[in-house]
Amino acid sequence: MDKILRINMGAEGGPRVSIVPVGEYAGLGGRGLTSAIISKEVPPPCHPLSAENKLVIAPGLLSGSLGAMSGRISIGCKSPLTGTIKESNAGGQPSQMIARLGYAAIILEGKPKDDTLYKIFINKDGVRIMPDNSLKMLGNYDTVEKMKKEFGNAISCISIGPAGEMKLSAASVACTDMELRPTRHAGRGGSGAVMGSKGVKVIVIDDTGMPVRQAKNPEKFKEANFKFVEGLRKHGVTGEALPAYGTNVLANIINEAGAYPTYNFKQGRFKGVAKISGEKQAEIEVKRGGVATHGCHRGCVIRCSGIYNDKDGHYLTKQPEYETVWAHGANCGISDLDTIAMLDFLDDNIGLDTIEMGATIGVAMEAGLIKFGSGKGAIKLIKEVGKGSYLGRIIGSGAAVTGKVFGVERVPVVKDQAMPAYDPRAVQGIGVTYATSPMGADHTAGYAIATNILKVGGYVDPLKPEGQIDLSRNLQIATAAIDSTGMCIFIAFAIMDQPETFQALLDMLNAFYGLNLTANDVVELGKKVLTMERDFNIRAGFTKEHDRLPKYFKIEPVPPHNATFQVTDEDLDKVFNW
Amino acid sequence: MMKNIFIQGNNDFVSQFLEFLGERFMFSCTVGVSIAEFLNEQLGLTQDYIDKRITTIFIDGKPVDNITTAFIRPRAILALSGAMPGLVGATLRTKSPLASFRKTITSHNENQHLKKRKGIIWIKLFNVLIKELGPLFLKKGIIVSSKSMQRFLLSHVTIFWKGCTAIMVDNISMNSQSFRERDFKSGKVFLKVTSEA
Repeated sequence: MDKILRINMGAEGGPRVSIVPVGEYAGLGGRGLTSAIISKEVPPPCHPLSAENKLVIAPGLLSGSLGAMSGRISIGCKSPLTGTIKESNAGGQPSQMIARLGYAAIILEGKPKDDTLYKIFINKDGVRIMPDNSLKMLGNYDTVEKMKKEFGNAISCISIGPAGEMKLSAASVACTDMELRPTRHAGRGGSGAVMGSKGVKVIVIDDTGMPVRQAKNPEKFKEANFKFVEGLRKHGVTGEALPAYGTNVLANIINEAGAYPTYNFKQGRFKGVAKISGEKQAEIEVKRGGVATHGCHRGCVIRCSGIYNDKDGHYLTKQPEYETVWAHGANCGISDLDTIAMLDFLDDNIGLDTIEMGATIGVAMEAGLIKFGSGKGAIKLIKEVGKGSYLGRIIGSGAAVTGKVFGVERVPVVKDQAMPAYDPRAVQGIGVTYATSPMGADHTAGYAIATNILKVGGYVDPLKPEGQIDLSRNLQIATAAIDSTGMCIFIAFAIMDQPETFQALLDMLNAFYGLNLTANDVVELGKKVLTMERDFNIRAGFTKEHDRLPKYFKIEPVPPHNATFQVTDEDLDKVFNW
Repeated sequence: MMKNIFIQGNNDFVSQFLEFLGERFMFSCTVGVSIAEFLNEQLGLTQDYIDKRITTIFIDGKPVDNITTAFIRPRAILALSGAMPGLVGATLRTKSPLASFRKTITSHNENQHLKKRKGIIWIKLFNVLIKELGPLFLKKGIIVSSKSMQRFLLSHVTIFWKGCTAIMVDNISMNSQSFRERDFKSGKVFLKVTSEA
């Protein structure tokens, strides 16, 4: 991974490829690399759909190796949804393949002069860019099928659906999984719209003939990887709960805490939760011949995904994630898993962020467009997006736009990005992260990384709760660092509780690159990434006034705890003081 | 009058009854005690098991950090879960280093003034604990609605009952055919399900 593939889609005479050394970006991967490139090369005030914006696709530092959990891919740009810098990441196979082909990043630049749609094929022999207007307005599933027919099955694809082509702000970028299905999405922030603005429908990657990436110290790497895997397998979350029930195992718990946003964030509990919980979902999957324990990429040992079949036992979609089940379920008052699975399929096929779509439909329900609980109505609305009707384009532009168009006051967004599945009035600390993350409301911006292991901000005594501001800061720093390794965020649970598993991760990185990284270096990397991102946003015109939750979270209590968001603006402004 | 139902069968048969535990169920116990006392003394769980496996606990919807000072009132809802993923999942854990994130909803040792007495509470078991603690609750006996009992009986075909070795209703033996066809009407039933010795 010592080179960067730059493709200028707006070059004179058609798209132009240049392969350049990684240069000043050496040592960065994942979010660290996407944010470094966007921060340095994209003018912050630019329009996100203009030629000045770039779409950066970056594998993790250990992608393409035999390191476990290393197949995460980061996609960065200036976001059409938020106007901020954006990194969104996904699983699937492309990360491993891009890394094995030696690319630290693929950067789409410029903008085509006309509306020709392109496909890009990358293998060991080079890069081919071909116009292919037969792909126009195809869903992700059909697009991938066409690519399989043309290039065979030894490929992976990064594609957009109709939403990306229409440059809708909720458009995602799809990555294919091990079964070559476009089920893993970099969903948040509308990166699919940026890919659409570059005129690129699909990037096909074939790493045939390329070896597995080798560590500088193979023996130490193998040993550290073994310990890392051992740590993941023995931990209750990564070794038991996630493999057995997937991420939706959270539904019952968050509901019990009264933090499960229901009916567009009007309540904290959903009566129908037992019908859409991870436990019920796994039961249905197994009964119908699907799979409840499945990896999203090779090298995954947590295997929190699955396959959801319809009532007749035919593939419908991958196991819908917790956020998806919540967004299309409780948030819209829908308690039927088959309806939610269909919505998940439609989102994946049209190329939409499931969180944004669920939140948007919730807002549409609040506006009276359809009734809360109407599964048929929700499906119809998503199909409208796929068709590109006027209504569909409004919905596909996200919750903030939809709220404005239909005159809704209660719109759960920060920096115009919809909040995920945790009510910040019940769990106030996550509200701090929603408000202050450079990415807009984002549940993964400050994840459960080990404050006590990383010693970010000093030791935290579990019996003497530290302030939410300090914790949110520490978590955001640590998460930015882990995101920059390109490892799956779910390793966080094992490294939080098991210092030896965190050390094994450091040992893997050190053995692979011949480095001597310490926990302090990881912390500094996290700070550096956040500083770059914050700086970009400031130059794009964002101020501390944007680091706020919508006012109604401060004045409308949410049952059952009847809590309001109580963190002061002054405290929110202290999050990035370091 | 609540019907008493005792069912015995092989392990596979008994495990099917865990379905009853997917939603909340009632349990008769001594209330006015701490959660620790309930788990240790009434259920007979070891401290090691509680520490390692029951890592997320709610009493009346409030996350619990100290099970020795959180008390159980009559008709309380006690929810038990294994370790959960996600920032919020970790935040809700007992003694989480992120506990300040949810300080406004944390249980603050209410109900310590209550006297010990017999009472009914609601239990919710989640995720890995359904399989681990479910058989224990079934063995001790749970209280479920007749309606859900009836629904369960009707949803299981004849072959399911082949693993059943004994059925007693109010201490009277009956075969599975008659049991399935029985109308439990409204109200509640006390259900005990055990595997063969």
